[in-house]
Amino acid sequence: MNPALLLAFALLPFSSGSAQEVTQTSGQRPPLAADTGAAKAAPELARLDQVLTLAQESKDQGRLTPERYQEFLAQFRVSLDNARAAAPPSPAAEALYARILARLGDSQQAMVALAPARQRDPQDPDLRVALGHVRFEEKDYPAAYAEAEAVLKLDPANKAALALKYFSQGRIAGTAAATTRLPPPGLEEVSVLDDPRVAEAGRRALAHQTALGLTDEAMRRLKIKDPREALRYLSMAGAIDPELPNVPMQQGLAYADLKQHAAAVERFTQAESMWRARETPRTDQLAGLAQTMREREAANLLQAQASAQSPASQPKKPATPLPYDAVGLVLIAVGVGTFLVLEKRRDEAAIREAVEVYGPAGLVVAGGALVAMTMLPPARVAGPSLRAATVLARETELIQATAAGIGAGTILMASKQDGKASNSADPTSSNSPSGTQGGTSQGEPDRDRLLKKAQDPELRDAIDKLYRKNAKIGSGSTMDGYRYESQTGTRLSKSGHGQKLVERRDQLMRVLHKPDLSPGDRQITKDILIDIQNALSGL
Amino acid sequence: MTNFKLIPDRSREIILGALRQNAPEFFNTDEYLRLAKLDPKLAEYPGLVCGAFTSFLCAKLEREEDVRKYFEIIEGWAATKDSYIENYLITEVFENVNLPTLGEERFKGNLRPISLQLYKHWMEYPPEDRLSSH
Repeated sequence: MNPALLLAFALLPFSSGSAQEVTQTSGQRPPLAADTGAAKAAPELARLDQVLTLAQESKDQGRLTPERYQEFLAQFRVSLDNARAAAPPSPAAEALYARILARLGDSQQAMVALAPARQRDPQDPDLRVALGHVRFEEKDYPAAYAEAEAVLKLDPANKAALALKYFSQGRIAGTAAATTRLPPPGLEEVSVLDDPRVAEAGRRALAHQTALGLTDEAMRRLKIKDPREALRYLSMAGAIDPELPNVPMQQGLAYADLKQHAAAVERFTQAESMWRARETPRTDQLAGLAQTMREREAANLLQAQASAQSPASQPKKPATPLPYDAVGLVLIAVGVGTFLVLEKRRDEAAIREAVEVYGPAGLVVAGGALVAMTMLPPARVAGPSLRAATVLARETELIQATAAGIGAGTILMASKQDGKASNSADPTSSNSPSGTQGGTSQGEPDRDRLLKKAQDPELRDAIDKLYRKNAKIGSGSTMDGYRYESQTGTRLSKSGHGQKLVERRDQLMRVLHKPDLSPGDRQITKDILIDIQNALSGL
Repeated sequence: MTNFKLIPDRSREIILGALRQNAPEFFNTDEYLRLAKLDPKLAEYPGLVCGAFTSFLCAKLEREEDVRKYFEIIEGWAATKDSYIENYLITEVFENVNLPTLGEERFKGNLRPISLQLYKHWMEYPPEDRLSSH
């Protein structure tokens, strides 16, 4: 922050007219000059003091609603604690911290903060002025005046003490000093601005400048991927200058980083309308941002709807050890029942009969037995053949045979829930609702499946370019390739596949808007666009 | 921000410029005109144009026509050592080669030295074996 601006701010109350006017203006407090020891020792705390001043003025003037002010205070306190922790310990820093606490209404806490430092050096001017500020906030103006006078006896040029003295004088009713218009000693070099409109314009300009500084800090936090801290700075900036469009724009960026898309869209839209109201609107940039977020939100909604409608495209869930699916329960029951029958009859013919009678369920039971063979110690010796399985089924205990049936049912349910259970370690597994997850349950590659269905020549061209033959990574799609690059950090081309996705996305958007596109082609196009957008979004 | 040096993206002028100069007939082909018909702006996207060019080139290869000048164009692109253009070569040319009867080896066999080196590095080695510098 420009020291000249800080000094100008410090002197504004004096320039706004007589001390009489000062007493009539509610909410004004002694400012903190830039060249005090406190401001130099803890510049961040000094800046927060200034931020608080501007925010409280905004609240007093009605430019900040009480709710927004409370929101600002919540963020401000976190920043205050951080700044205090970061400041090197010194009487000046403690004094400043106490002053801010007092201004927040925490006089008791302010006194606690001052106590250790005052014990060590009770005459330190910064600490005495801070104590004076605490008394001022407690409306004990004579005590505040007394502290200021004590400091000025030793250091007549102490600007902070001077400010405190005159503000306190102004509040003490019936004193002769309250009506004097003489400029305070030591400040004659500052021109007196009598017009309150000029002072107000100066305060607004300073508020704007301070808010811009805070948005710069927020942008730095966004660049280092700390959106929460960025939001704290932006909350302060918005409190000081509610009309600054940078604030909602950067809030939109922060919410986008936090994947809160609805909030991001709201902020971008707000920034867009604020910019439109200005003389030099940047509507194209912000309209583009808002549109991008709307598209992203719409794509997410479409995906959620498609996922809800298409059970086969549910996102991967971990395999559950307990059978909840009805089909699995039936198969397990069949498995148990079959083996109960076999337990009684114990011959190979019974196995074959079970397969003939139960059909696929019987095959599942047999498959379960094969699985059991690979898991149970005796089975490993028997060898993977149906005959061996029947021998095993005949010779195993009932509980092991039942386990085979349960195993078959569980495996069926796990593969139903997982989709690609065998690909669970594949970082490129995509969650496209079109079922582009490395092929259908029949194992057909996505490229072939989509090319069979798509009719439109431009769509077919896009599919041809987006899905490679002989897939090596994931489904062979550019989207899975991009996911691989993002997740592993290994590029599959010189600069990665992001640019290809962006260009193909534009191509497909044009395809989507073709009036003669069939419903089937439209759905395929949407599904691929969702997959592209998900990949670009890191999903 | 002052620490960043912006590298201008000249891929559009180089890719389209080379095609206009050395293969103007490409701009009358179905592959290119399909793009332009969808949206004239798409026909200026370097990646999409490269993809259309690859389809055009593969069709010519399948018909056993003379394709030497087209591979010279690809060699010229690779020789620029421009990272944007190399990326388009990999993602929109090499990855889009589709020769159902002749196979990709026919395409690779026509590549000139610089583009062949680029092809081998990005298309033939598994990602984990690829050297980070190219």
